[in-house]
Amino acid sequence: MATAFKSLASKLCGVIVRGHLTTKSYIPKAHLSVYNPKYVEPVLDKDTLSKGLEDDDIRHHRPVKAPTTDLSISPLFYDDDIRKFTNMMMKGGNKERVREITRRLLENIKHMQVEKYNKTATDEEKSQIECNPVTIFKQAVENCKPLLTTIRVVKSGVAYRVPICARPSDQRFRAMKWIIESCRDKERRIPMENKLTWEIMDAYNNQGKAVRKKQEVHRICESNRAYAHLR
Amino acid sequence: MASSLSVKKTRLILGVMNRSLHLSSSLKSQESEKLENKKESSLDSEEFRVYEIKGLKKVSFVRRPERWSKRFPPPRYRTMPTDQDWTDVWPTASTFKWSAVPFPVRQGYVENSSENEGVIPSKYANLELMKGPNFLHLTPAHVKKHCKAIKHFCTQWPEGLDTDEQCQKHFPLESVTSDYVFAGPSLTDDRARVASIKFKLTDLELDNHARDKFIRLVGDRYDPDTGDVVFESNRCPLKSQNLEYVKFILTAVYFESWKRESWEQQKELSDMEQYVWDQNKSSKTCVSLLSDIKARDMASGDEQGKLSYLSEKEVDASVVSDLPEVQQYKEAVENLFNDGESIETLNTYRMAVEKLLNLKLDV
Amino acid sequence: MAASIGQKLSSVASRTNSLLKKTVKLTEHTPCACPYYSTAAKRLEHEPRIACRTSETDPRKHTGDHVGLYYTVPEEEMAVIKTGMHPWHLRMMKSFNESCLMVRKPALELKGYLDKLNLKHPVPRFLLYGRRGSGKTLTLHHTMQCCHKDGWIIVHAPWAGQWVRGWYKEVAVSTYKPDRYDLPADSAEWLTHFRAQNLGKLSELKTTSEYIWTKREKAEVGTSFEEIINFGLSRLKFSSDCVGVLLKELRVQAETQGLKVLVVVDSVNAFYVQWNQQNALKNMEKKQLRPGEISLVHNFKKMLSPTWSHGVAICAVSEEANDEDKREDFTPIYLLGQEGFEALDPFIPIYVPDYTEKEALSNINYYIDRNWIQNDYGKTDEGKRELMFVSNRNPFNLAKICAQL
Repeated sequence: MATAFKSLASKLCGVIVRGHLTTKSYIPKAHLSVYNPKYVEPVLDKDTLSKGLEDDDIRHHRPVKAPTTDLSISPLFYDDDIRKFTNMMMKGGNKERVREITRRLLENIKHMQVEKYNKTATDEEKSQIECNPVTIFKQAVENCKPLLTTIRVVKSGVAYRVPICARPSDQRFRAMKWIIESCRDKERRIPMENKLTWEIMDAYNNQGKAVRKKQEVHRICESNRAYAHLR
Repeated sequence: MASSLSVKKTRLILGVMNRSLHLSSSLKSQESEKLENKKESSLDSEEFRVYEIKGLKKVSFVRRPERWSKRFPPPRYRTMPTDQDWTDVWPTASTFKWSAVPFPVRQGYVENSSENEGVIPSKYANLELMKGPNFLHLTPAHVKKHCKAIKHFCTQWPEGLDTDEQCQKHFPLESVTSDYVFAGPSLTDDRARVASIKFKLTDLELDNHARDKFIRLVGDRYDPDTGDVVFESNRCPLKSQNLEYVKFILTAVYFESWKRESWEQQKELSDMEQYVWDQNKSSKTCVSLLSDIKARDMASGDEQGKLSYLSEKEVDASVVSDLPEVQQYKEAVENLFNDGESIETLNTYRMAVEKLLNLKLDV
Repeated sequence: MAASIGQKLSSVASRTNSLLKKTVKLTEHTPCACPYYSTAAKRLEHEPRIACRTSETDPRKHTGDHVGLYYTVPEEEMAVIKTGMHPWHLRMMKSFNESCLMVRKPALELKGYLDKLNLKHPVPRFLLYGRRGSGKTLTLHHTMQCCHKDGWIIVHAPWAGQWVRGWYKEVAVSTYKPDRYDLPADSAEWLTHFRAQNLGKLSELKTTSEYIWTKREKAEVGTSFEEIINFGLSRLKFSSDCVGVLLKELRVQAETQGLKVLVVVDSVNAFYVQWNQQNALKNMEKKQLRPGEISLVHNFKKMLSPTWSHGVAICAVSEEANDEDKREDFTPIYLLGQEGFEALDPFIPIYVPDYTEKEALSNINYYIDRNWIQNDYGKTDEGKRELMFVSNRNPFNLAKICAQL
């Protein structure tokens, strides 16, 4: 009995450790977790669930963690970048509207690409065309991400703009912010989703206002490279 | 201290008794006389007392008479024969008596396992059983006995009134009055003067208008679920007066509902509670449409696709409304408005229209 | 505690199991290798290609076997239904580089009735009803194409609500009767629509009586329909009258010359219900207009009354044509009101249901085939089931959800 328990416990530990490895965070999860270490990971796979638990399974005796949103929500409707982008676009808590805008944005991109796809004759050309709107969106954001940013450092009464490496979260934030701002600057009568579509397709092709903004930031960093040691 | 005193007392009594026994025996035998003498002499001569070793001499042990205590006879149910007459045991309504009830029964609530060892209390001295009413005086045997006793006073049930339906048919009016008997200083009871009559609305001869008006006049005295009308009165001092009064009400309302006032003519279609096909535009459209179709059929003379059910008859409103197809259509339309629209009612309407216009679905 | 967790897990498992069992077994179920289904979105390898198309492009030959399958509308026939179609559909067709419609049961039922019809009888009326987005309009288009092939003249009102709602719309007093009102722009639009739908048939049709527009202008007996349309388009003032003339001529010629006329009115309840003060059409004195006062509506109402023969009227009711507080139900009498019911009665109500499981699957498979569903999970068996569940198999909901995938 005791040996069986030990082996099960070691298996379970394995499960927990594996769970940690899948996360991207550099901080060990256990340090931040609100859960007692006794809690085990939830099982979401339907096949495993349908099998049920064996009599001597340790999970009979352990509490289970609640599944996080990105695990429990359907991959049909959830993407972390899209969620972030939607929330950044939101004004005054009007989420319903920004979600509609995002939905139409993806639809527009898809319309553009699928039309091209269906009109080309050969398979070779077809394989060149990216139709997935989420992939295009991600690539566009990727193209707008700045590698360097500047911070303000005051040394002996003089303020310097010191170039530093941008953090990944900062990169994503900057890229999305620039895309949204460049669309807000455009003609007001045009629907937001249409402006976003053009901007994102431009950024996907490494053109457009947001990409230029990135290059501008890079240029400033380049010109201030002499102060890099000040950080 | 008290215990030692009581011990001494018993010894004393024992000694006296021993002596009296000795005396009675000495009267009979000489040996006992000798012994008596010896004893006297020994007493006289004041010899040393002989040490008596305990247990060496046999002592005759006299049983103590038992103390009086209250003895209960065994409960009655223990001695009951199985074929007894229960009506004798329990003749009238009474509180539950555990000793007279021969079956096991438990009643009550046990909060936890420490209370009464977790078992629901049995019938012995069970207050819960005594609180509630019981029906041990109303067993079939009791009822039978009662009936047998009062049969003497009953008359023959009239023939032809075997079922409830027959009773309802021959005696549609049901009047209810009550008498109250109770022990008290006054013989009168306020409630005794109330009289009510009850009947089915369908038993009255009424047409659509009269029926509608009757229902409006009687208000909540009519129950649409059962179709019963109840008139009740307590306004007169005597029961018979009240009964007469409710019968008068019935007569008055009945004749009033047959009357048509001038203002009743102003009722329009939109005021109707129910959709009546005959009064609505739908019936007129239907008749005109059918006559149109008939005219076209006659003109073309083509057999195919003809409205076959119209072939012989003249088309006018009275003839059309008797046709089974039109009847079905009428029912469907009325259903649609009165029961509300749903996919089912719309489908029946569709079927009816298909038949009416001779449209066939070919799938 | 332990038992309760066990119970929870097993109850969840049994629920998911039952959910799987309830639906039709589509493919061999291959278990996912990954523990969480967010990462398990792999396309099933041996997924059978469920047929979602039929090669039968002639809508007259569609039978019950074709239900749920897509057929391609040929380019030349697209012209019939194109002008009346919602831009949303047209955009989809453009992206898909083909125009396909699904064969559905209500359209087949309509076709069944039309095949057995006695045309000498007064016009029968058919009324499509169904939930929002269940495909009433596309069913009408399917039937129109079917009748077009049979050589019917098509009179189509694509969205009747447009004629009774008014925002900054030009309203003119009718030149024919002073208590009626014309909508010159809408009439002209309808004339072009009518011409596009019946291309090639109108030049042969001639008027049978004389129509005098003004003192100097008139249409002689024997003027072709084409010329009347051109006149209406060039003189917008008389465009509504031209519509009236065309409709009257069609009724007369159907009766006398055996012309087959198909009248299709989408959202017919707009003809019979009154719009609220804010949205209703108003005349120059800011007086609210009843639908019957508008000459276009008045003329179309005549087409729906059973006073003429050799024709069929097919209508659809839609919730959008009613006021916002009168959209609780989708049933005909609720939407039409008493007046509308009396005008159309006796009609044949045809229920347009939401997709069946087969139809929904066919729709999803068609989208996958056209590369429209890009989400990998959406292409899996489970993903398809989820799409069906989330959209409740309502065609419009399904299309809306699939648009963002």
